[in-house]
Amino acid sequence: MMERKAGSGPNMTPMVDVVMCILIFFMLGSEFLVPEKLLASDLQTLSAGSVGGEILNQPVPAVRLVLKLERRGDVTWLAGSDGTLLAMDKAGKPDPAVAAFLSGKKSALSATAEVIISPGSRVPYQDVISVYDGCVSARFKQVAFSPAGKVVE
Amino acid sequence: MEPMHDEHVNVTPLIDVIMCLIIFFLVAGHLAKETNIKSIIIPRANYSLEMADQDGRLPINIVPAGTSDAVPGAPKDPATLYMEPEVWIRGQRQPMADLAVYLRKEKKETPNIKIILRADQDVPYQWIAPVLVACAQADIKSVNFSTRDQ
Repeated sequence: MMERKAGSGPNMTPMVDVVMCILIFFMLGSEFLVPEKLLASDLQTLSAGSVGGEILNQPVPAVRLVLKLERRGDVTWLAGSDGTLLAMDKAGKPDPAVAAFLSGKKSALSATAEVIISPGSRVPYQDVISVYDGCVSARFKQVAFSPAGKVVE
Repeated sequence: MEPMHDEHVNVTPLIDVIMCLIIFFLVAGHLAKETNIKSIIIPRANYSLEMADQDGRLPINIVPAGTSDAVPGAPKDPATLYMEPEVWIRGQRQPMADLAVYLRKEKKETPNIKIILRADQDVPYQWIAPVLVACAQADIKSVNFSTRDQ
């Protein structure tokens, strides 16, 4: 009968070391990915020929609040159809003043009030999202976006 | 004389498990790279949620012109923001003009399609609006804006 010598197989220690380093590298790499969340919306669909037009088969809301966004220099201004004028925070994050304004409007308006966000063509995406985030926080149920440059009255 | 026992620990199962983990991270990293462009700095929001239903997701990446390979957080040339941005879907660049046709085809193949809009926070709305219009033209109602926490 042949004798088995201790440690006769290949030495796996260096391989395990390298593999562990690779594993730690990938684990740390995946940690640095920024976790993403979503602001959901339900778009009102349009036929190809009616982009930016009025949607005729929708029930008419009791109140419609139009929020126009315009870029002047490096400041975005929010103008409400109720006469409100707000300079949005330049910090590149949701503006508490916008959220407070929308929350106040929500409590003053009817439950079926519709908000139309009407940003100008130069308004940064962050500011559009900040206003939409404010609408979500104020629990407006109907929020729509108008195409860039389309004047909504 | 009795045969000598192997006193070393059997590392074969350990290596098997570690190899599986490495393959997992490699594949996950590759898929993430294919669907998401890392140079995009998505906007911040307070009231966004995690998507529970993962079926039918289609990420649309909107990157300022010429910055898809840039290091995340690298300063952007303001002039590029007003040029037509790059639209990337599933690792392929798509012309913005053909987006409605592309999305109609996707909607036909996946009726419960959910658009995940990943646009850079600095892209002007003039380049976001055509994507929303294309979604509406393709009869896609579920459009979700990808955001990060503050």
